Amino acid sequence: MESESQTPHLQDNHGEDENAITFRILVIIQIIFIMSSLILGGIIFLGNIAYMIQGLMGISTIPNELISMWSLQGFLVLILSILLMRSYQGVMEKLPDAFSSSFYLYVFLTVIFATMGSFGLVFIIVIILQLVLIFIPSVRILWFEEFVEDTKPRIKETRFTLHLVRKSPLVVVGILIIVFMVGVAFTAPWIATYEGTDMVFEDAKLPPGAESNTIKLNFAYALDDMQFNPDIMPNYYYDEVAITEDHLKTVEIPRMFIGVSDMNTGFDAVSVNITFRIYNLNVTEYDAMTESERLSYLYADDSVISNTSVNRDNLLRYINLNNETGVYVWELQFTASQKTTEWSVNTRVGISYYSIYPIHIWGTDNYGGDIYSRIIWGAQEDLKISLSVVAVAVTIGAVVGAVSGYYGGKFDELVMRVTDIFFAFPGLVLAMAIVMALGTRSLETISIALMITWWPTYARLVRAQVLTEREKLYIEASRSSGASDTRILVSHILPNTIQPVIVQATMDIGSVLLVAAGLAFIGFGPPVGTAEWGMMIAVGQDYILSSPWMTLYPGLAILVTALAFNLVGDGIRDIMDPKLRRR
Amino acid sequence: MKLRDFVLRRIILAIPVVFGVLTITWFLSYIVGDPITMYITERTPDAAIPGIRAAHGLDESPVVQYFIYLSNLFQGNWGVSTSTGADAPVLELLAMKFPATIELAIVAMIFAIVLGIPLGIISATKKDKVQDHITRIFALSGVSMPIFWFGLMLKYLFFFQFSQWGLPYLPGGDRYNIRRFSYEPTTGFLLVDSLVFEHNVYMFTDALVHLIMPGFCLGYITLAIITRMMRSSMLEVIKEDYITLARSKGLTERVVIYKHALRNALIPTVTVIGLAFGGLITGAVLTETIFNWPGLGRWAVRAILNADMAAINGFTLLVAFIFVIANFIVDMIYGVLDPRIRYG
Repeated sequence: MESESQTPHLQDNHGEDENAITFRILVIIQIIFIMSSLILGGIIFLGNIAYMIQGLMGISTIPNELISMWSLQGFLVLILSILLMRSYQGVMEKLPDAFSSSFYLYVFLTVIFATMGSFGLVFIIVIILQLVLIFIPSVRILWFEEFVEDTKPRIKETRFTLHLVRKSPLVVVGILIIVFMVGVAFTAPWIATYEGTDMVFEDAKLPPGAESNTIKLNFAYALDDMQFNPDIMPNYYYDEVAITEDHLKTVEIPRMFIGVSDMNTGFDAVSVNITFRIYNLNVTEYDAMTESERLSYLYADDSVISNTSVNRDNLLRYINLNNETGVYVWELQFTASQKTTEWSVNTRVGISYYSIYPIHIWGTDNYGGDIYSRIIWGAQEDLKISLSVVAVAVTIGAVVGAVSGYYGGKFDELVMRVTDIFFAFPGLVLAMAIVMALGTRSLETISIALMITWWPTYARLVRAQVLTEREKLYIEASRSSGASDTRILVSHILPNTIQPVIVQATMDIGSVLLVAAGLAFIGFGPPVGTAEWGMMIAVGQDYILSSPWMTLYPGLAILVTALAFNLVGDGIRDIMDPKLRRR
Repeated sequence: MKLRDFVLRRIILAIPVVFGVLTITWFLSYIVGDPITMYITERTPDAAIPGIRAAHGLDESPVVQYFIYLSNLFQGNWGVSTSTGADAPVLELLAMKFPATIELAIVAMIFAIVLGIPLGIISATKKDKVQDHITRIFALSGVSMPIFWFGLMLKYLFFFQFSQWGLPYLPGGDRYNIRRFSYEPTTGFLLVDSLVFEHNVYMFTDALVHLIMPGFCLGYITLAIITRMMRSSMLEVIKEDYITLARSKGLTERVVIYKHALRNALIPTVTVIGLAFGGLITGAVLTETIFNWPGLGRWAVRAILNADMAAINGFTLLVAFIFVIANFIVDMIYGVLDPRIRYG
């Protein structure tokens, strides 16, 4: 590592105690964090291997788990935690550049944890806590001066890059479109008028802007699948329902629905009286009245006696309400002659009403799926596929390429021949063959196939970069000062090779979309009915003459998205190219 | 290193790649489907199946089967395709379908080169001006569009809508007008056959008209790649000192660009063209399906949908070989053009 004279001198003596305490807290959090990351990563990784072994033995039916995202994530968490541990040693030894490499690792870990659900959330909070802690003034003294010195030229360069980006309209447009598309994907539940899987069969092949041919039956439940059991002596539930304009959009009359089905297994032979009443009251009036007073406002009622040993009657009824806005109170009573523990029912209470389907802005497909909504839901699926494919391919490619480029020798030769073989296959054909070999047709299978097809590109790219970078003087310098190979690779070479990889990755996000669409087109897509752009085109091609909108809009969506990524990638390449950058 | 040694080294390096491709195709066909389906039909009696299995060595261990597969391939026995109606040997079918695809690919390549190089030059000389932006958007659209979607839209507009509007329209499929001409392939290249062997100019023009739409559709991706490469290499060359010198000599901008800069900027573009040829074959899979082109691609898609493993393997192998050969040729050209590569 670096010599003693380069380590920062602490400001003065009285600050040292304070530093030490904060530092110790940081260290404790770090240790807890790394240990739990290692355990979590290990559990996920080993668990998936166990799954795969079970799958091969025929015990479990999930043989594809090993190559799925989860085990890979577990593996990545393991590797990153180990690297973090090493770079954190540097922080404890107060080496200025250790901070920046652990900072990159934090960012990587955050990205991975962000996809890991509730576990990830906890870890993200821990990471944020650590970052905050690092910026506490007394800790900051340890590394900040050197860090500023270190990053000054980098910041200047970044400013210049941003200036160039702002000056190139195509990149700006591309970034705006990408932001828009990601926004669409995130806000899909609110801006889509239909669900991704909704099909209104009466509306098949309607042109853009058409109104629906039919009306929609909705249920608004007050009690949904509630299971009441024990201790029914008298037991009763009531609530207010309001009939609003929303319920009266069509001529059909809103109805109250009550469903109580006896789930009794037959051990507790007791008769229960189930009574359902609707009152023409609001809930405050209801509360103020006695039972007999209420009865004069009774709108409708129904009751049934359920007796296990004699009969098992279910209460199932639709009650028509008035076709005007108003407030009702419903009341459900279970009355038993004695306490019962076994008796249980499955209860539903709600309003059923008709509403008008939203307009089909961009028409419908042959099953009556709304094109506009499906494109929005498709944005989610497609961006998920392309981002995950590129992320995994970059990670695998970077690791393989860096190792083979840095160490060279037999492994390098082997890797290069393997990538040659991969390049000899056209991407689409190879991906197709892998989907066929994996068996199931789903978005996950397609992602896996594309990941396997895509990593060699990055392995080649990173290797070439590492080869040129390896020979440079600053690597020689850090090697002669005693830095280990891993350290040189991770904290010196990789950050310097990342630039062309980012450009390639940006453009590949677009290409993955296209290949995924191509797979769907030749019949290797997700199941029919999935809201995915390629699949929508594939389905629409059969109806191109009668309803061209089925293919037009999803194709435009792919075009716009892929074009945006390509514009940004191409623009960044121009901006970053040292040969074109200045002069 | 002499040129001969360089060629030899390249050939030796290509051998493991070819074997790798063979192994992967075999492995995929081994795990995807039972190869026995190549040799039996629904009418084959169950009792005969073990005999057939043994006759083709399919009851052996995987390793033995692999070597049987290899020896079959080298003897020209690529299996039997079952998906094209009558069962036919894969090698024969490949030879029959290949010319149509190559013809389409060549036309596509001509489109791409004729449009791509001038666009690249315009884009580079007018860097960051409106012309540059428009050309880049046009070029990048080529790599941002699903090729089959583009084909569908072209077909919808120029074939269906134009015929609806009573305008002269482009044919929407096939290699030639089946109702007007009958065609017996001699070389398989329709343009050559119609002109050289049948002396039929009408058929030649008809074939040309049929090539316009699929050719452009297929060439658009390559066009984008060529334009991009041309632009960036041109930008680099323009900044060289000798271009400044040429300018300061008082040569017109036209002469400087087209005589001095273009020649050097073309070298990387030529490489890209060579490599893109392999990509054209993949694009052909989708384009041919859309335009009903009786070539390799459409045949391969049909084979895929019918899980016809022999045909899929044959297609994959052929495409892979084309890739390997294209790479090899590009390497050779590069080695000849730039001696530094040979010594590296």
